Amino acid sequence: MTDAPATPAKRYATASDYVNLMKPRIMMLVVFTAAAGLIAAASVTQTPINPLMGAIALLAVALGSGAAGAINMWFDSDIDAIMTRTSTRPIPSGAVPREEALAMGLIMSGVSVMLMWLASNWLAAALLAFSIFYYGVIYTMWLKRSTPQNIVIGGGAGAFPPVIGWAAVTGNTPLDAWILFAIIFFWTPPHFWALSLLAHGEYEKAGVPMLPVTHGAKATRLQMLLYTIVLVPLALTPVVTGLGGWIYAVTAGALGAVFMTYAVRVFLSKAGDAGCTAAEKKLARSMFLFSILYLFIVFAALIIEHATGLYFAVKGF
Amino acid sequence: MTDEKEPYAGEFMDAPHIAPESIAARKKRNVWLGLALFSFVVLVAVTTIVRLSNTDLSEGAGFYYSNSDSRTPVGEAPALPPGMSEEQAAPPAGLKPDEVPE
Repeated sequence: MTDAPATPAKRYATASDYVNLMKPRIMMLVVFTAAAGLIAAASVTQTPINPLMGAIALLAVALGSGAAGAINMWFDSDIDAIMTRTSTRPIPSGAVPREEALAMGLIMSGVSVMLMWLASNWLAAALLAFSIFYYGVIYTMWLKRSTPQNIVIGGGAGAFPPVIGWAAVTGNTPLDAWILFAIIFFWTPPHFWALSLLAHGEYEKAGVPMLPVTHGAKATRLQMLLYTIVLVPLALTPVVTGLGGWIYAVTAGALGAVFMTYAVRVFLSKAGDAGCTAAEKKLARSMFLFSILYLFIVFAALIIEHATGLYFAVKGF
Repeated sequence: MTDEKEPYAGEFMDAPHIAPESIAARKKRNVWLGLALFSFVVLVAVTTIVRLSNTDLSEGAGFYYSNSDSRTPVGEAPALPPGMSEEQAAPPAGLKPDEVPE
């Protein structure tokens, strides 16, 4: 007897299956961080942007994110069928044929890039096209199955949205935009590894070389701590450049302290080890959920400061 | 004598049976696809209208007119023909801009 998954029962695709193909939860975070880049750019550079064009640019980012998600699900349908967490996705559950997912991903990629170009400029459109390529090809087809550093390098794909949002307004990508990129880039490993500490058995079954599978849970907890040590001060650099004011400084500082506490507690625990307790598993899960909240609130602070005029510069910088 | 064989029996394939649920699902998908296409057309139209209405189409202002660097920008004197000096090209002394010599 083999471990091959059983042929899924035939069911008929609904609209929600196609929505799920676009990974809507990731899309929300992507659009939110792109909006932060867009709003901050308009405020910092005093560049007016037509609100309708801004909304269409964000829609293009959402479509681009959905396109990358569909391409990812098309390519990964074999391993998704093996892992319990992903076995109910539209392709392994038998609702959507693989070819349809690929076609949808490719068409949406073209539409999103074209819309972005129409609504803003070629640089934003090129960055959007590159980020789709980065996630759909570099991460999904190459890195994910070949190196334990997959989500570190692949995290770059998810870090592009604020840069795209910034470029959509100004037509360039200054240091501030790349600082926002770096925040998401260094946030991704502790965020994702917190989840993979809990699901490393599944990744092992599917043959995906996630860090806890290849180097063990202890090495992963250490890496999570190191990335968090880089992330927390990095998240405060917008205050130094003048991008973030008091609200941002207090928010990023307070949440950074909580994030660091989680990273230290997880590092000292045995989360992900064979004999770890339910409480330790819960701790890793809490860190995963908190990391999502962290990114949302830190970028929300930027949006609030720049969209509502509540920006108060921190003196001394 | 009658032929008991069904006419054309075995000469045509049976029509495939499509479950009513499948047809309903396909209809729904088609409606969504139609709406998505319509939305795309509307978005492109709106974007184009907004972009064009925000564009200065006057000569020398950009978009259609300034793509070529060889064009003389509006308000700037054209280059002198070879061999002509600035003095030769200057208007007669005392001529006011609005006066037309008789």
